[in-house]
Amino acid sequence: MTTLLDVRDLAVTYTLPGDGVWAPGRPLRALEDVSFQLATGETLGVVGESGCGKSTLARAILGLVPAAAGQVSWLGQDIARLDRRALRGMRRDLQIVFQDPLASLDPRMTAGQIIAEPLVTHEPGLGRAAIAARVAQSMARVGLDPRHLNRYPHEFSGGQCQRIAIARATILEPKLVVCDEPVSALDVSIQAQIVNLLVGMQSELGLALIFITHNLAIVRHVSHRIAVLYLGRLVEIGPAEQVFHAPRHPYARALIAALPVADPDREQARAAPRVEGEPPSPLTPPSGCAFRTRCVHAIARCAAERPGLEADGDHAVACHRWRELA
Amino acid sequence: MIAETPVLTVDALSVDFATPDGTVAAVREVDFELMSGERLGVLGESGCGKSQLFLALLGLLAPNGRARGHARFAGQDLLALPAAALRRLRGNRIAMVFQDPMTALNPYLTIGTQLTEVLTVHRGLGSSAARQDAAAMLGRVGLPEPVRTLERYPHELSGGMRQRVLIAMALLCDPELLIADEPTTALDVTVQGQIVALLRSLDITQILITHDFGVLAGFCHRVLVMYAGRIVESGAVREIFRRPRHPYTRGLMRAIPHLEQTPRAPLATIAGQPPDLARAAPGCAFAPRCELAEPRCRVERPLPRAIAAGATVACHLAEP
Repeated sequence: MTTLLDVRDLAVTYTLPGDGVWAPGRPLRALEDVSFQLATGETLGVVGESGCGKSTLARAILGLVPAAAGQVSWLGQDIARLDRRALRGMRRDLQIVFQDPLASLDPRMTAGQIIAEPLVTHEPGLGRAAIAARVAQSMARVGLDPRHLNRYPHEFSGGQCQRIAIARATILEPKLVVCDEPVSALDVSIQAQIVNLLVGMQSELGLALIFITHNLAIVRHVSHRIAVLYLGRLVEIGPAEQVFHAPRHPYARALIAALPVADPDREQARAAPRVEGEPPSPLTPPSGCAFRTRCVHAIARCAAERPGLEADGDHAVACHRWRELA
Repeated sequence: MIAETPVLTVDALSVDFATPDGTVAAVREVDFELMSGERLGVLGESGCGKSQLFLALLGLLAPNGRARGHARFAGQDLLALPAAALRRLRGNRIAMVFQDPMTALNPYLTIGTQLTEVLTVHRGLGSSAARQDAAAMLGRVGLPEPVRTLERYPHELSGGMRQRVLIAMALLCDPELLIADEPTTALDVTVQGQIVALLRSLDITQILITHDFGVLAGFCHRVLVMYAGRIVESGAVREIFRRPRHPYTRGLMRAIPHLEQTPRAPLATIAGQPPDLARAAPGCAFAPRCELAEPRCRVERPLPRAIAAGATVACHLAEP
């Protein structure tokens, strides 16, 4: 397995307007010190709550937002320094599927045109017959009827629109597909269809996936490794089973413990909630560990000193006290 | 405590919408009873009619919607009440909490203004008494600094705090029935649990509309499962989870990834899509997606039948 993607000390900062017309902008650190690697054919699940930087991470990997610090390397090359040709090659191999399938498909294009678009862009020499054949093949692969290629997105259901988005993302047989909440807008019975499709396509095409979601049960199901983000920082990363069954960071523990399970005996016996409060604003992050304001184990050191990511084998955690709490 | 007295009795309730594509049959002949103190969960996917059913009870259907049937609440038929009488009931004796707390609150008014309005309109309180009651209620639903929160605007609060404000608003007039439509869907996982715990701690008859099995499992005494506008199964929450009898309920339960499942193994799915409610078809609405369907399922509609104590199922093939 080769390393496809190497994210090192990545930080992304947005500037929000200040209070008042002449006030200086306020920096919002959406991501800070995020490092991980992704191998070919691997699925990395990224979990966290709203505002934790999950979608910013997707954008930074695709080069859609600039890194304020650190770097993202694709096949060993820093994407910020790629020339136009190399950038084109990377874009071909790196595709994305968004949460809301209706909003991410152009309503004035037919399904066939949408799916063909990457092909037309990246393989300009192809004839019409060759394009039509590839589109039909791609539609069949994602479970769409190729006879529907002249229909518009609004004529499809949500699940079928997500299949169109997946057909578009995979027609070039890319190396990595970033899926940003790909099933969150879908009903339970349709979610399972799309999850099966993505897992099946991964083994068929040897794709790597970055699967961003707040749905922990789905992340555990699809991922080889899981990364947990909190307020723009990577607090834990490791093999899926280890992170899920033996989480080390107090936040990861709370998140997994909060997952409601479809078992009335267990759920109704559940006492009070397991974490107090809500994530603080990323505009005014706490000093030290970002989670300390909600953490029952926080000590003075947690406020004074930011914990770095400490690796123990392939399982890493950013917490001063993880060893004593284990 | 669940008493033997029904708070709400719904009888043959149907909802139609007139659309340019014809009449959409959103809810069809729904019957159920809700006992005092009971927490009822209504489970179903988008478009199954679960929200429209309760909007119809409250007289809040869109202008092209029409409800038929009966819904007895406090000795009156909600569907036969004049608009003014229903308005007095709504927010006073029946309260509702919606999914998105940001859109349910007026962004231009402080929390205090919005809360005290409920009390001055429905209970005729003076403004200082209303503020006192409002602050006390904010404290009860677990908001820190209730008096200061009264001065705040909705955007100054987090999603979880806004949902607490809406629950406080719903409780202000001490309603007999609280209807919550997906109250946790827009919230983060760690906050969801807090809101479910808060709702569960209230000593009040409640209906929770959701598509989340985990939330349902932790909250309800009894569950109604809806598909294509009809109740396909009902029963005690433990029974439904232990032994779902309708093939649709079984399919849904299998489709959620369980923690004991082998990672990456294919999930069970329900093939196909829910039916188009503008095109009435004979037989069972689930038959085209059902693995067990027999010829008679496509021609003869299964009616809900009692299959065990307090449990009904609308399937020709379900066994006791």
